[in-house]
Amino acid sequence: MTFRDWFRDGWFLFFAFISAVMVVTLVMPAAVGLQNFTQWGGMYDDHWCVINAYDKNPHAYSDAKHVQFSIGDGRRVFSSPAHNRKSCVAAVQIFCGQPSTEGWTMAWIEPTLKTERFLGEQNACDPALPVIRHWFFHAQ
Amino acid sequence: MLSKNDLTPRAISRYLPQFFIGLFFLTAAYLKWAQALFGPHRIALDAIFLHWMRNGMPLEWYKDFMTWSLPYTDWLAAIVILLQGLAGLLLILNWRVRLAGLCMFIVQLNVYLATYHQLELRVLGSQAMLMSIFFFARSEMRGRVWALMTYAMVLIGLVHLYGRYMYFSDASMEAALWQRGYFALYNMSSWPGLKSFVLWATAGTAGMLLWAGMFWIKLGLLFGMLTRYRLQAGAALLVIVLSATLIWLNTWSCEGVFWVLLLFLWVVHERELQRAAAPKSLLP
Repeated sequence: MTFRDWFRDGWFLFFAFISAVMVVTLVMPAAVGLQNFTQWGGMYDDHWCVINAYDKNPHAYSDAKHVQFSIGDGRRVFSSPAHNRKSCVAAVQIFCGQPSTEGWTMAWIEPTLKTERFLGEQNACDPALPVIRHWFFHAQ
Repeated sequence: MLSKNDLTPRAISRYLPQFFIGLFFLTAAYLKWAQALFGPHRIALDAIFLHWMRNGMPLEWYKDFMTWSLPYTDWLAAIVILLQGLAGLLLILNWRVRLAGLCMFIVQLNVYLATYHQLELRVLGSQAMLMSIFFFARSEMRGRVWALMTYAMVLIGLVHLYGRYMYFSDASMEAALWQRGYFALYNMSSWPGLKSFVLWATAGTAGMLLWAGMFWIKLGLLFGMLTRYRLQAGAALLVIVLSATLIWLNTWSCEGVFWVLLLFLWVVHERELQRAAAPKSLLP
């Protein structure tokens, strides 16, 4: 079979197409600006994006109220949501300005990924941060 | 090793799924070494073993082995990484493919036994074992042996769908509603446009019917893989599974990717066989 025959054969084209999609979306998605987390090459369950929400800056006010929870807790469609830093920030920004379970407004949020507060003491609700929350905002 | 004879279109298409599976396992070995089992935020294998045992996942007799091996789990982790890495490398190089299959099988059989009572992980282990059996016995993959492989694949698919039906009510409209809500709020896709498209396409009654109906479509395609139209059914299932993997991105399980890899392997090989002889139904 020659390469000319290859292009006449729909199945070879299909295999090439599937391969191209896999390379772009699964093997090296970051190279083309797509997202992917842990599906390629493993399954690791320490990527929870955890929210530490306060009613005000906890580094300036020692009496700041605090609540902590994971995103996507409860009944799940598939396994728990995994996150990278970018998607974790995008996900926690949903909760900025929303009431906590105790009723006070969540004004200051420090996300944690793999037990690390990767934004340091920066507030994820800070308007100076790039707003990427549209990824999770479709329901609102 | 790759030779000039391997650069024909036919050989290349045969090599493609093998390359992806090899790359997957090589990456898996690297990630275990750099992150999961030995990295700075590692979860040691003994902690994983204890977690599995606490949740009643291993077969009873295999639990004894796990308990005995607890002091040596760093060594076991190193062996797993070596075996997965070696298998991946050999598959990519297209060299000693039978040995690669054996290495994969040893690792996956142990994972299978250690997580037997957890349905999703059992499906995952079965998928990986089927891939390793394929590479171990590739030269025999025709006639009855290939029919057995196909039956096994369909069976794994049915077990997977059974789990989805029982524990996630996948086939019902009610489940479709909360699943769509969950997707909108907590999941992201490969890119925002894909997520927007899915939400747009599944809005309204017709969209919800499509969402819930996907379970029945997958079931139908699985049975289609036993008919003489099995190549087309397998290819359609491959497209659906790949799409689902990209749509439901942020889940920690690589089960979706395993389905993609296994189906790709199956479709390419089935196509090779159908080039030589017209397909017959595998139904009794």
